[in-house]
Amino acid sequence: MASCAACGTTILFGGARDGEARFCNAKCKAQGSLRLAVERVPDTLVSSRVWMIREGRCPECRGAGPVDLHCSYRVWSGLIVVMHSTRPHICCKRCGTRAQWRDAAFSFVLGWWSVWGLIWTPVQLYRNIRDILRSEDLSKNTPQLELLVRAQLADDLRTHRLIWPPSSPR
Amino acid sequence: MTRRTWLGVRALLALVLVACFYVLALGLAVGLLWLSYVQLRSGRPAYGLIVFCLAGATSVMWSVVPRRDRFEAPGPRLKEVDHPELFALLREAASWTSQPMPEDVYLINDVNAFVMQRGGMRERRRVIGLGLPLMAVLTVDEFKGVLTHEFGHFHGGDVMLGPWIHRASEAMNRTISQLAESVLGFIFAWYAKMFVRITLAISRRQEFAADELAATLVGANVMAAGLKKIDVAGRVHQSFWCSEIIPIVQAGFCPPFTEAFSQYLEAPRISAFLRAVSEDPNAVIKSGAYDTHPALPDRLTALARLPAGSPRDSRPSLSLLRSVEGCEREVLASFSDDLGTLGPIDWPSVTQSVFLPIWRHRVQRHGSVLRRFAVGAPPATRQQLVEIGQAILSEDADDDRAISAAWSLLIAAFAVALTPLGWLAETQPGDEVVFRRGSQELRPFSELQSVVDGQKSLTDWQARCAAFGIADVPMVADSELAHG
Repeated sequence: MASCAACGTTILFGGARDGEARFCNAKCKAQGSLRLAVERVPDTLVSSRVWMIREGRCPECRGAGPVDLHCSYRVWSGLIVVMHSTRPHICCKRCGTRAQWRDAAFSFVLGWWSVWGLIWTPVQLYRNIRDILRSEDLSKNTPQLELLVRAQLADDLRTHRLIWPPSSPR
Repeated sequence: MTRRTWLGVRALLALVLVACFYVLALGLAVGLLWLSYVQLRSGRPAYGLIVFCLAGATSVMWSVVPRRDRFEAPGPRLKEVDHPELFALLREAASWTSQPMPEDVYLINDVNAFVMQRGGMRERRRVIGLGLPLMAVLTVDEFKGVLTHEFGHFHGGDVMLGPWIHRASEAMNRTISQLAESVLGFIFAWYAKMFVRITLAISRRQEFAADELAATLVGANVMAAGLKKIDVAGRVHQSFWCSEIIPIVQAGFCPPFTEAFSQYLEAPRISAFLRAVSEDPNAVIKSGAYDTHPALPDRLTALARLPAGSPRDSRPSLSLLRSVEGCEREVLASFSDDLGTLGPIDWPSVTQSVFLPIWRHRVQRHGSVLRRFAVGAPPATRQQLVEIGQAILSEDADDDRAISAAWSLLIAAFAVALTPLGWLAETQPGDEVVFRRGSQELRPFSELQSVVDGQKSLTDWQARCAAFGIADVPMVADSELAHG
């Protein structure tokens, strides 16, 4: 009996298909198709694209790299609402640190104004300060950059209908 | 309704939607400010609610404030003095469409061309970007068609509407990301979706109009041929760049990548694959609501109604550039200054200078898994390849990935084993590695792939290796392995 390629549920009848994969419903198909597309991106393409990003100019300041994925964390809250987010920046370490200081200041001013805000604000402040103080190995990229690039390539594959011809081994 | 009226109505609708977005955003911000004011005036103000309203209002207003248009050169800027023939063609397309010449012409590393307008109403600068790989695949006639198509966007006034729509879309994106998944965010997300659908429908119509204009100059057949080439080349360029060029650039060389792209598209394996893709009846492409351009079949159908014309200049469009090598160097330098200083390398030297050191390193690291094999008795079943690949990667690596890793190691091992015996490894863009010694030739990948697929027997391979005197050569010599 077939099972959903995204959530593993047994499919008795119906469902949705994407190539050979079967899914229990359209939502699972959307999730599963994206995951399949991500898995299908060849490793060599990912590593080459990551290398180009690392060696290229910083998209924020146009200065020399190495460029990597840096995250900054912010929160703002009021009464019953709390909004917290992790914001990715593909940039050099300097620009990444600047974004982390900016979001730390933002959270420090606007984070505390609800009960959940009292909990989330120290968390986001800690994350920003931790990343600012962390000494990075500049010779290696973060695994998160690789994941992001893989997802972007998979998205390109779908939206721009890119194709990867079978490459001969070298 | 004529096409021009349709475009006008849609464009007007887009402008109304832009205005409505700003009204909606500012109205929301004013509403939130008013609510916080009412709270402050009341006897027992809820300070949490006030902070929420103030933060929400500030957030929305900050999102809709237009940002300064920071222009970043998409590549090296071309000068007329360096490329007079290219500029002469640009001038011809400009005069045909009764448009002034663009102030800036850039070279980009994409199978694409674009036009845009920078600056405000007073200091407008027209910019055109031309893809170096685009020029690698088109003839002069086809390239002229592309240029006329791009000037058609100036002619149709498309670039006037574009910046407004672009700025509004950016403001919507900022607002949606600021408001995250709140109810307000959903309202803006719904609005943005409708806005994008309408503006992209306009964009697709503008493409048809630009195609029509270009076809009147170069003929519908030439235009259609160019579009077909661009479609195929555009879809594989990323793969070509990452698999063929980056490894060479990583090794510190600047290869002739423009010429290599044409060779890549013509390589037997690649062209057979592309033919199969284009002839696949299940892959009929239709225009989607979120596509900026109409699907190729729709564009070809529209062109088929126009006069066919005949080609006049079938020289490669790269001949319009005075120095392709110089352009390639400038394109690389636009990525980073370091890449602009790389030494040139011709394609025949790539195997020895780039791949052989990589292969030696690979064999040193993972060669021990091939110890029990000889050149005449290599791994030749799918199961053996999976086991080798999993030994290289990890036991839980999936079969396809493992087989791919196994093939890479096998080719490296063949190269390291055969080179001291006078064999020369050669490769062309998109083609497999071929080993040659005088008139003798081995193609380990395709020959052994047929054995793995069961199309050929291993004895043919063994007989050939025996005839060449290499059957008993070990795949990996102990001296090649890394010790410790």
